[in-house]
Amino acid sequence: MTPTLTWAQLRDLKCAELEGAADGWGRSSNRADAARDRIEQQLLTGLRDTQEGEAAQAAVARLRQLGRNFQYVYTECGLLRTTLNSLAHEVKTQQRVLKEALDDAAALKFTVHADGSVTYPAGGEGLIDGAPLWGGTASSSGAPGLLPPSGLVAPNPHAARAQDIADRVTGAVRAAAEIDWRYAGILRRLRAEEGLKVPDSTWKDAAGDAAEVRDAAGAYLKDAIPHDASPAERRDWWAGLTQEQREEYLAVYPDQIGNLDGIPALVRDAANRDNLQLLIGKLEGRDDEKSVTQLAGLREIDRQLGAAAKPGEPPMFLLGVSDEGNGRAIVSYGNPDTAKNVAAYVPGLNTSLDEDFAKNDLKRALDTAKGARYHDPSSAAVAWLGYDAPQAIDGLSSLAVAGDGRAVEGGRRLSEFTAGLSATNENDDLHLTAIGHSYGSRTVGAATQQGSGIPGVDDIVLVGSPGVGVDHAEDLGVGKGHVFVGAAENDVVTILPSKQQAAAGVAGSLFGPFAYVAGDLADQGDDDLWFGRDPASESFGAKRFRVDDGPGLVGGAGPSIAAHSQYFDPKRDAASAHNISLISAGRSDKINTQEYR
Amino acid sequence: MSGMTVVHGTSDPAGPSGGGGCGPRLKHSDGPWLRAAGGAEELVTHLGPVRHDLASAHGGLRAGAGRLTALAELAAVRESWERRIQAAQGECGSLAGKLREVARIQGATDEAARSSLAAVAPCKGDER
Repeated sequence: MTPTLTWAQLRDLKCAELEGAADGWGRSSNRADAARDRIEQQLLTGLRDTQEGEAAQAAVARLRQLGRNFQYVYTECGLLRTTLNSLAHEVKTQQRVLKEALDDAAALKFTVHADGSVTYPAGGEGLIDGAPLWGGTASSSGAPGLLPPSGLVAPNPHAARAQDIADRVTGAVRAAAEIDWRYAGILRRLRAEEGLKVPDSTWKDAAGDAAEVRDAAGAYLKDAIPHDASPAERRDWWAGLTQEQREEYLAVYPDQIGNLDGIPALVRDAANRDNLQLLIGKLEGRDDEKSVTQLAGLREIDRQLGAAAKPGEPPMFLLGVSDEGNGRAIVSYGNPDTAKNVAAYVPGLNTSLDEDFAKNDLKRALDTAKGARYHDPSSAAVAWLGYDAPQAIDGLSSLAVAGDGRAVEGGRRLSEFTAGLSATNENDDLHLTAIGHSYGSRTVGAATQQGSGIPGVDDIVLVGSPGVGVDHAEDLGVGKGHVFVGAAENDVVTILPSKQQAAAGVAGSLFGPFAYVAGDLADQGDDDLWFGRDPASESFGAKRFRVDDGPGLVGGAGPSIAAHSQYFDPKRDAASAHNISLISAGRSDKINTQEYR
Repeated sequence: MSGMTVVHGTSDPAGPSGGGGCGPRLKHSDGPWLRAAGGAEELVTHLGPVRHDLASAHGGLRAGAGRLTALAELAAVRESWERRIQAAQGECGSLAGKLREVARIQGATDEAARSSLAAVAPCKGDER
């Protein structure tokens, strides 16, 4: 606390000076950001892409470290800016309280003394002689309001007003002193660490700093981030902010801005690159399985972001990242705000934020983007892990446990994401494709069943689907001719039996998940799968495109899980990857079809 | 000199010992090194104004808001970041010098290597 702060000092504090200092930190933050940008875009790119050898490796390592250093400077100086602005904001609030009290005192011709006590003149009428009562001095010794004026002790009507003014003056000074003390603590923890390196422990501290500044700045930045608004409204909110306001939101709430649908892709990407470092710092050193798994996934994403895109490959945008639930990561290959065609791939069963996702699921989006760009260079593809997919810890029978819940919740989030893509995309005629794989197709199906359907989506691709929750393609709301299905003959998931069949056969518990399949094969002619009608059946009414049959069980014929995993792979299933690319590029008239089941 | 030169083995005295193998790959041209050096020097200039800018941004504080204890902390915070940014600036300068040096040394090595290049077997995959 600051016992020395007087009301006169509080009154005379020039908060504009604090805001001027905040601007200085903002400029330093921006300068560091520009330095990092230049290192990554120019210096590093030139050396990394053209030079090999130990000297080049050493130079690249030092430049990378320097880049991280500037990222740290950018982040922390941005926090300092908001801290000072927030301090000014809070002090100004107390100055206003003080000023109103002083104005009241002046209007009543009371005198406010240096110690906060208030002298009032004689007034009122004595009970006996009717003469004015003596004036006096009121002071606030305790918390405001604890000393109600007593009519017996102080019948002078000025006394109560003087007491109220004294309480307000003292209250404002005390509150300001508490604010000062609180911000002194925050500032102390925002000191720079010595040196150039930015180890994970520093990022961990930085994550703590951001949280602390956020707590403190709640009143200053308010809860203005429009979480409850539509993505289009959020886009307009962001567009209406000043540059300084945007920078402050990015500094204090990178995790919220980075993951908010409706915010432009470039902004999300910049915020999430910071989030990624903060998350790595947060998870580093934890030894629980979830943290270790997610950390490996985050590190792999970080590695890919740091590596140069190969010639001809679209650049990578990190549209979302978080350790919520099983982890979240949304990666676009190609800018989804400028591309005319955007495809969003929704992964399914067994997907979570781990190394496998970071390598293989991202590759599916990259392969799709590359394929689509062959047909239309203005194409981007997104891997969207924005929900908790069911985890098949005990084989495919996990689907029974998973039910529809994850898909419905995921579908809600997916709808918001596609609405965001529609809102921020600059083209008038954006062509948007939702691609659901495995349980992800059930999630896409759920997204179509909310409100007025899945926002902005023109085409729907279902691959490796155990059913989508509706029985007819037209029920998905994009038009019967815009639903496309890829189902490998050997893909075990696409021939899971219906719930009725599973319930009828107790064999499932005896022989594991594949017994369901055996049961289904024995019951030919039934079009129902686990989540409704087989999308590859004629009665469903989608267009079935050609895919490879996929490898059978142990090299032979029969259903296998391997056949479930190659729809996007241009090497292992060229036909399927080609067809998915065509649809994503808006050229579905060119696909090769396959007969219905 | 300009243009890409690919040299193997001989020009990398720091490479791992052991005969037969190709050693670490070495592929360089001095253009990117000189450009990176120039970029690093520009960063030194880019960071130059930070110290003065921060100082002037805080100039009014002592007089205007000097009663706050937070400001005593702020002074220490500012010093720590000025040191950090200065260290980064120093690193940019040092890197610029080293990058230029690499370009110079490798340029000279290329000259020496060119005459002996015929004696160097190409690495697998580099035969054309």
